[in-house]
Amino acid sequence: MADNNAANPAPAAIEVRDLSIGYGSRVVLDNLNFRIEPGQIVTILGGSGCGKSTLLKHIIGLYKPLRGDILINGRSIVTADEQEKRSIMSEFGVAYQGGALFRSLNLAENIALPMEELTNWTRAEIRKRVSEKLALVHLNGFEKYMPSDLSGGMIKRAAFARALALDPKLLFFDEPSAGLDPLTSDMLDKVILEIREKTHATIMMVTHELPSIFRVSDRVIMLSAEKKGIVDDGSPAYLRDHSADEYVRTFLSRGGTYKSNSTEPDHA
Amino acid sequence: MNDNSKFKLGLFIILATAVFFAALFILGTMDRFKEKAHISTLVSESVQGLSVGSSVKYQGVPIGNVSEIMIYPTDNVIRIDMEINISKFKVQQAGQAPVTIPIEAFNEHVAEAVKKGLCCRMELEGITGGKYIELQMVKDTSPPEYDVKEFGLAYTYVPSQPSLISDLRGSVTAILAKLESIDYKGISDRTNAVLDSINERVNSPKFDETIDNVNAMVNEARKSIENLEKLTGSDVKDKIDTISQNVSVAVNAVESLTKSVELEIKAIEFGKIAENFRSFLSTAIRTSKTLDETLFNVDNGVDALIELIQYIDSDPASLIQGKKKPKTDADDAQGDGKKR
Amino acid sequence: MKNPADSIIQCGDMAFQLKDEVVSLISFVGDVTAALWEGIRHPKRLRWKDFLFYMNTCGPDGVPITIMISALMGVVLAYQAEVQSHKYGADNFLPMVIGCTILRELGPLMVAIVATGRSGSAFAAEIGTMKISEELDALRTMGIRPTRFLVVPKMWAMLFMLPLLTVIGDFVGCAGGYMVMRSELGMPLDVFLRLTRQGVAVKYFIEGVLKSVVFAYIITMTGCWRGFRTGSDAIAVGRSTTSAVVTSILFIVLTDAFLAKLFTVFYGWQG
Repeated sequence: MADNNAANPAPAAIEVRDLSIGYGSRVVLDNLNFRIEPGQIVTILGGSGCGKSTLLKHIIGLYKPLRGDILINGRSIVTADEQEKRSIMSEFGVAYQGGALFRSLNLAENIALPMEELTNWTRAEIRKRVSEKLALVHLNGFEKYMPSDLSGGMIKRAAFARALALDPKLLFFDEPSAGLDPLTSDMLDKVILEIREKTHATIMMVTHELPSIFRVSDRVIMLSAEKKGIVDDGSPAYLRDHSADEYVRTFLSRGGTYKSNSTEPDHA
Repeated sequence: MNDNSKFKLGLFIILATAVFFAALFILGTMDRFKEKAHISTLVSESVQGLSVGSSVKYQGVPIGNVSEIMIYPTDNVIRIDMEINISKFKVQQAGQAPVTIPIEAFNEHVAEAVKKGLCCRMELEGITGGKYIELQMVKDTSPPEYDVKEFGLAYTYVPSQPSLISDLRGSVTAILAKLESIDYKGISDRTNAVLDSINERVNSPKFDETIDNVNAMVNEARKSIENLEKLTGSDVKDKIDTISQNVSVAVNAVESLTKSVELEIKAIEFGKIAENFRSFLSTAIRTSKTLDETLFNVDNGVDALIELIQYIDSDPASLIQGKKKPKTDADDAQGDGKKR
Repeated sequence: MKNPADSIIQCGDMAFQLKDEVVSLISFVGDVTAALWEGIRHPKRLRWKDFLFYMNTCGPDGVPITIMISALMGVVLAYQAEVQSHKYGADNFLPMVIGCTILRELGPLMVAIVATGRSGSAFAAEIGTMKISEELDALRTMGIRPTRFLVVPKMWAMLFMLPLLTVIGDFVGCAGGYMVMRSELGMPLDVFLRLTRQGVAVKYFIEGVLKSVVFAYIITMTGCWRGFRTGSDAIAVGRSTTSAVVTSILFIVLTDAFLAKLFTVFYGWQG
């Protein structure tokens, strides 16, 4: 796997080099550089419209960047051809903002889909793994439910389960707790921590739910629309208290001082 | 997918497939599996209007289609192959349903019938200019102008007869050719010459002179006879009397003859006749010139008519639809043809 | 007043958009065809469940409207033709006229238009909604080709079902024509059938069915393509649905004209 980086025998889970992204001639984020080491939970944070979701979609290979390179486990997803790209993609799982469950399939089928399509596992094996994943997100017993019958929180958890289907070592969660009530949001955070504990996966999230960030994130990468780049990078508590940038401090202070089990009302 | 929709889908597929095959059957794919006989013919006329797929009829009953049309340019012959659905040919056995004859029997039947005068001829189908091939018995079969054996036909050969329209065209052309071959100019020239020579004779002064001479001669003869009477004496009076009497009788006879000649000549009134004759001749000459023109026009008309008939033959639909491309020559021809 | 330069710029924009559309359509056609081929080589990888589901929605569920439209079309066609040709005493040609017109042209065309309205728009809406809810992205990041997953089952279903629907439409259309012949001219069924058989070659029937296969390809292709091209705002799905129907009908009619010529040329060789 680590064929291209002799200096780093253990490649970063994600490495972004000189990345510029945008639409057409409009540059949204310019000249980004960061590494995410295996096992971390990293949150991409930033105000609305700063391009954090766009960044995520570039990292998972849906969009082509204007410049620069993105390495997933040491392999470039930018320069990969169609087949290699699919191979890289099979190494990570993505839980989308709205869940993106296939509405024509029930919950179990949704989670089984990547297994059916990309592995040679037998039916029995798939069934076993599906119930494992559902147990991990506390959804066992809902196998036959259609996505339309599930609540928002359940859909998010089902999306986590599907992202975990192929036991990836890298997970991407896009706005996992957006639009959920605080209690459900709490529960999702717990699920995320459990997932990390059980799978030792690297997790990259995009969110601006401050309580959730303080609860789960090891590291925050703060983006700014004005600077078109990273303003600061560090653990959330450290940045809140010691960031050189006032914007970062103010932004993170809005999240309060708690670390967990908050009953603070939802963000504005 | 529940059982209900499975049933629906299955039912739909079965029904639609059934309709599909029923349609194939009804529309005659099954014809393809029927036994087909083949016959060929050779024609030297144009097959305009005939195409692969044109129907073949046996005394009016549709029995097949044209399957191939080929040209043998060296012999200027067109070969037409026909596919015959022999299921139309039946044998009837007492008390049983009619049975389709076997293909060998069909071929034999055709070969037999050809000896008795079975022929193919192209006929016009409807008003569209399309043609079909009619197989029918013809009393007097004219032998083909080429040796059929040279073509080595694989199928049963049925001789062809010129089609009705080409027959018609042939006859009309023959009549017109005969008309055309008459030497109208020569006839009129000779007539003119004869009339001219008669005219010349009648007009010449010798003709009048001859009549005057005849008159003078008659007068001379009368005077001689009177002198002869005076000279006669008494001695020989008796003898002479008798002679004289005899002569007198003779002279009387001559006189009466002369008189009658005179009378006749008077009655003839040659001058008048000559006059009349002359005026007749000049009329005749004028007429002959008109005749010349007329004959010339007839000649033109014949050409135009031939052209028209050829045109109609090549495109019979034009009889109803009118000409496709207005062509001045052909228009004139049609106009002339109608006038005459 | 508008600046004339603006109009020129607009024209240029439109030309570029058109070019984009054409390029996207062509690459989509290539993508789908490759996926279809892959499906033929590995039939196990076809999503049989989806295939059956779409067979059901495209086929049996469309039968009632197909029957209704086709029967009425047959009735109207026969009636109009009868009024005209009766004047010339050409009643015996009517079964041929009705048969040829329905089997060669109107049957496949009307069924295709109905299927565009039912299935083509549904495909566009379905894929458009999936795009908005990031399901397409999800597929892609799972390493599954959306065309194989979404288009191929629909395509196979349509390729199988539309010809069958066309057969039914043809049959019902001719039956409608017969009803008019019967009521207006008192033509008995056997005479109608005989006259139809006389004038309608089996190749015309095959022609219509082959056409409907092409139409199925067009309907699915256009519907799905429009779905994939859906924008991201709320009304985008409605827009792509409308445009799927319009584009698809346009393509169908264009193709129909082309095929009509093609078949005539082909028959010219065949006679």
